[in-house]
Amino acid sequence: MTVMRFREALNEALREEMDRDPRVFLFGEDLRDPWGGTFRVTQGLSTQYGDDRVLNTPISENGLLDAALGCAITGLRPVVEFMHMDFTVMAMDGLVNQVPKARYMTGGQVTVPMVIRTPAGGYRSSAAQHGQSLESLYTHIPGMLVVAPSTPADAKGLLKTAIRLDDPVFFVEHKSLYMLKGEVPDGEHLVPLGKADVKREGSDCTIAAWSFMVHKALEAADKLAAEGIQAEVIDLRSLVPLDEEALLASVAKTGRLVIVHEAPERTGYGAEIAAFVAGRGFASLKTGIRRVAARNFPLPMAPKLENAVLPQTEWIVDAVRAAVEGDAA
Amino acid sequence: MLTKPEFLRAYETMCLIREFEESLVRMHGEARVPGFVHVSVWQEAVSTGVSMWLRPDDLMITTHRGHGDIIAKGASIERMFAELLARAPGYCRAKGGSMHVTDVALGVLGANGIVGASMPIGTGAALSMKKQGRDSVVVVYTGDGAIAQGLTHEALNMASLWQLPVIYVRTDNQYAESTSPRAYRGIPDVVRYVEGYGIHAEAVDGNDVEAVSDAAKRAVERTRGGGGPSFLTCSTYRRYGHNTSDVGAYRTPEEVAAWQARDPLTVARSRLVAERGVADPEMDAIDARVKERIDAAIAWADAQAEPPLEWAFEDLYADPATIAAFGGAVR
Repeated sequence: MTVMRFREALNEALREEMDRDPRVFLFGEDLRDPWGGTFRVTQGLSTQYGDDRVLNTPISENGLLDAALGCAITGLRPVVEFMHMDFTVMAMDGLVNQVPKARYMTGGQVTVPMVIRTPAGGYRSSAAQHGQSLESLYTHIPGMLVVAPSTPADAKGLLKTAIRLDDPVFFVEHKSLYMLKGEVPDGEHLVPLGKADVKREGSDCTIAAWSFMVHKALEAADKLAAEGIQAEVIDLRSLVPLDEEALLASVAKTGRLVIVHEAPERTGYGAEIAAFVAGRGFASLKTGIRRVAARNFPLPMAPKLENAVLPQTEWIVDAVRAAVEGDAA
Repeated sequence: MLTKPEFLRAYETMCLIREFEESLVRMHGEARVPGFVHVSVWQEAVSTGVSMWLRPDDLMITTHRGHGDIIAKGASIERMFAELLARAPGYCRAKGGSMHVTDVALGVLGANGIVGASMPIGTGAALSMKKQGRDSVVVVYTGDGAIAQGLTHEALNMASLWQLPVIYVRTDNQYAESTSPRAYRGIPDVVRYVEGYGIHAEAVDGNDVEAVSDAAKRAVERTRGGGGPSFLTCSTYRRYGHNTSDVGAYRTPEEVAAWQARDPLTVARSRLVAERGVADPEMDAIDARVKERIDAAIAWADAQAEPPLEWAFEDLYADPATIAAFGGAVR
């Protein structure tokens, strides 16, 4: 085990996969040294591998994504970076109409081995256009895989897996996690998609979360334990595919489910999870499923106001307590 | 200038595209072709003239009106009809249809249903050729309306910046759906517009297969030779409306008649007869041979089975590991 930061784990994953496969290259805005990416994830890579493996693009999100698609269907394996998740919507045609559909609409004639990495998330006073969590948009599109790790070890292991897959993966990196330190296994470390991770076991209520919200859920679970409530925290890690069996198994044990996500509540991915568990896990449920999510508002800049919109640890504590006490959802 | 055998071959390709498209119009009228169909009748000289100088390992990508471009690259008309008539041996297993015909083995990266999207995807394919040290060129067909898309700007800038082996062919059939160029272009002169990116551009008579072929030959030579991207804007016209349910009410009968007089097949045929000494019966024999080929291809496609139901749920993901991550069955 080596302790490293989340962003260093991502950098190591890129390095290892670029070493392993000469077809892998990085494609996006401001990736090269000495800048090394807006959040320094690609630092050192253009120096080590040369400008041919680390391509800085113009500020042309839609064009660069489609150009990466042109590379992916002709023998290369691009890893695209969008500087902020908010900017991915500039590439909506590529993300909705082209990349996830290229294989299907050609009857399997092409493969699209592509990873689309993007920093995401708020709690940084970056206001309405630099802090959103838009992952549910991409979970909606058949053909796109969506991954959102919460620890340095998972960041490395999932990114390596994503780069090796012959299918497009939308890879969410929360900006508040980049400096987080954690242990990462030495040697080859791969984490499969579609496998949730039980971060904390408990018998009273399941908390399902991903990305930065896993840490808020764990904080909430600590506080709840002091009150005698044992919460089980599941880090979904990948949203598409979703580890349905892990969710059902946990709810079968606890009988209660609180879903936590940073995106606004309305039609967030929590709605999909709730619908799934309410259907397949109905017999296990002792109370209504609860969601803890952002209020349905854009992000305001002022920290005080932003904290009124984005989910807080106390909101999770309250939701779990209410579920256990059997209040109406 | 084409040699006589080249010119005859070009004429036959144009005939093939013409008959293919006219048969689709007919069959669509008989409700035999599901979905949207955009045909390219009277635009045959562009596809044909450009494709004459492409090698099998050169790539191309096209638009929603791409049948002619794809046939000219050498695609099987049998498999194209099968795709359009929703039969199992269709190029895309009957899941793409008219707007997504693809033949990767032949370098056809696909038609595309989004105006402008061929520009950056094809530009990326050219980047890929350059990165892999291959001397293939990529032909990117685009329509006149696409010049107004942001994607066109992004693609032209990248191609110029990285000096990519890409040849853009703009088939200017005068109308972006129903809108005339006067209503959507700030700068009417497309050559000047494209030259603003530092890209070599030429305006070509798109109804004259020899003119298109000459320009395309120069473009392929300079681009393959490392001269960077080229752009041809080919002025032509489409016989029918935007799609098979559009009668083209936004055009005057006089305008249509003027273009009909310059039908690229008539132009080519009269030149072959008058200047190249081809006898009329020889030309008639080509026409008849093409008609037979089309009839046989339609009969073959008609006799094929429909796609089995389970194909609806195949081809979304490529990697066995992805399928495994879904628990063995994609939901």
